[in-house]
Amino acid sequence: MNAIALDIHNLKKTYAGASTPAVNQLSLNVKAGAIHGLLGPNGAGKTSTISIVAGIAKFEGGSVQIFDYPLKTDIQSIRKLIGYVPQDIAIYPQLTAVENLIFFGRLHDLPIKILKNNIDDLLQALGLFEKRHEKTKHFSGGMKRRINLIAGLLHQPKLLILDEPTVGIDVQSKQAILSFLQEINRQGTTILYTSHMMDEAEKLCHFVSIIDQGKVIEEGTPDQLKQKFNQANLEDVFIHLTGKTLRD
Amino acid sequence: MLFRDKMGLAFLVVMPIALVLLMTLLQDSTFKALENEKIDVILVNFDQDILGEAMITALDSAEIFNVSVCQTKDSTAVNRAKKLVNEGSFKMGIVIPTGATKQIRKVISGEIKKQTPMAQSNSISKEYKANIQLFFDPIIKASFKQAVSGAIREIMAQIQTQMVFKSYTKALERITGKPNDSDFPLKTLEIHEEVSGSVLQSDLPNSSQHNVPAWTVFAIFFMVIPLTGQIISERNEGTLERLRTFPTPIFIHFSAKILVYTFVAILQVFLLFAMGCWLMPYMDLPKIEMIYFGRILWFTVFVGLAASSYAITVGILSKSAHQAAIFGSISVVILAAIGGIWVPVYIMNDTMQNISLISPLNWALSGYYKVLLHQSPWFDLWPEILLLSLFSGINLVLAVHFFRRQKR
Repeated sequence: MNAIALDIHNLKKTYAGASTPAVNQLSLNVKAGAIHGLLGPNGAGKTSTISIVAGIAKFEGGSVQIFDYPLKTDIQSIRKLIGYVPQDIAIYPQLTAVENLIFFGRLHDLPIKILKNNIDDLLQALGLFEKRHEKTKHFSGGMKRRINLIAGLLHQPKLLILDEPTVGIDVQSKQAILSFLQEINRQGTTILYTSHMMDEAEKLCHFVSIIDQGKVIEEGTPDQLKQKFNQANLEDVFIHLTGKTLRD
Repeated sequence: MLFRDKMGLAFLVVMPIALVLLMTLLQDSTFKALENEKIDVILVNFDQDILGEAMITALDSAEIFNVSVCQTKDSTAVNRAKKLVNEGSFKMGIVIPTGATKQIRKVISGEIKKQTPMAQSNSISKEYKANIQLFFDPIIKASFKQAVSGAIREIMAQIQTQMVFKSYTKALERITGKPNDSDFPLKTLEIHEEVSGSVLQSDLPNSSQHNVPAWTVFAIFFMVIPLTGQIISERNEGTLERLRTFPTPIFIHFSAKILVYTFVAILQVFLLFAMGCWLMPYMDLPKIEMIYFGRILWFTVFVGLAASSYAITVGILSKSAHQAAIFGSISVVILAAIGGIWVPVYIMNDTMQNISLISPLNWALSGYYKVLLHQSPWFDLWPEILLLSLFSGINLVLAVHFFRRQKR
């Protein structure tokens, strides 16, 4: 785990009309092969940061490099290397699971035979193979989340970017997703992941960066952070660093 | 996805069928009136002799005048006729003065006597002219006035020639002592009018030739509603945003939508024109000839491209489904109104006719007119095809540009 998958340096992003930057001189390294958690309270800049990394948001300062490709100048190469799974269920409800996945897979220009194999494998792995010909509008929240995840994995990305992939789903779906993420990580996929769920992050992540007000305020392995701040779990570390004030 | 959206499909197919049928039925009588419109004429006949009678017969047989005749000796009839014309009850009035026939006869017989052996010094006034008076509705156009005056003069010349011929015939009878019952061949020279093409009746369409293509074009452009709705849904569901993370350029995604909806446009044209060909005649409506249908479908590709690319631009620029539906529908209704969909361009005033040229619906309708009314070959449609293609290209560029600018 020595190569750098993602190198963010002094990243700055201010939304039009906002008085303070959403991302303020944020620097971060994600090692290749790691599961890296980006944790922070609401409005800390997590989604803004990964939106920039995924190429769907602009930034005004700093630099982002993914596997040595600069985001500013080589976005097309980067798009082939990353898989992005948004927090919203970004699939077509009128289409079946397979139709959705074929649509997204074709946007990666995957040959149809390879694509169909990948779809079948991923549907099997996430327990959706039997439902593959049903329209996704009839799926439960957990099933939709899993299809949403598969849509970002069809081209076997080297870096998978996940924005709160387990929000609002049942324990079974959550477990299925987390186990699957650990499995693909073992196979070599680097994962950058945001979440509010500290227990989940503590179990899943090799490294975490805690951010607040657009900056990284602490980072390390969960054990290092617990030890450093003398806390029993990552949630206590988080509260210790970000305070108890409500963030809306 | 469109084919999963039954309401959307129904909207694109059933709505135009109803619209075309309804509008054609509603406007059929108006179009027939336009096609067969006759000019209402009031004729005050003080003469009550050959000239007056011949004039009435000639006007009737011209088939472009509805003649109301006032046979009278009352001189106030002229003022009454003028009042009716001023009020618009008649487009024109004709007054044949008292004794006009007798005076013409005198002039002609005087001329004959001079030119024959029985010539005598004549006492006939050469100055006499039968002053036939014409007056027009003040609001009619100068060109119309000129055309009608020309037609009346032609009729008068024919009558005069006939009278001269008859007088000379009688003079010859007297000289030779042989009866001569030959009649003047009134039309020795005729203009043979023909409209180029085998189907074309006139430059003006009948109700089906206008309403079928017009409301089809309207329906094609009304795809703005389902297509913008789809784009807004994609934005709300996050799929449009997600597409930014894929290596496939966004214009490919937009182009795919444009192609699907262009196919829908072809389907609409096929259904609606087929209805104009096979169903409308059973409803006592004029038939649409399908002999150049391939050309119509080919032209429809460009109409479909223009309509769908416009819808995509509206979808990208709109912030909500509500905004897209309102802006999309109102803009298409306005473009339809100025483009001659509701009221044909040829009955608009000059200013509106010029304004209509900016509407893509007008370009589309004009192309269909060319095929239906003139059987124009496809290369004659190039001005419309060029305009529609430019419109499509500009819209696609705008859609991609604004999509990129909307990046957070």
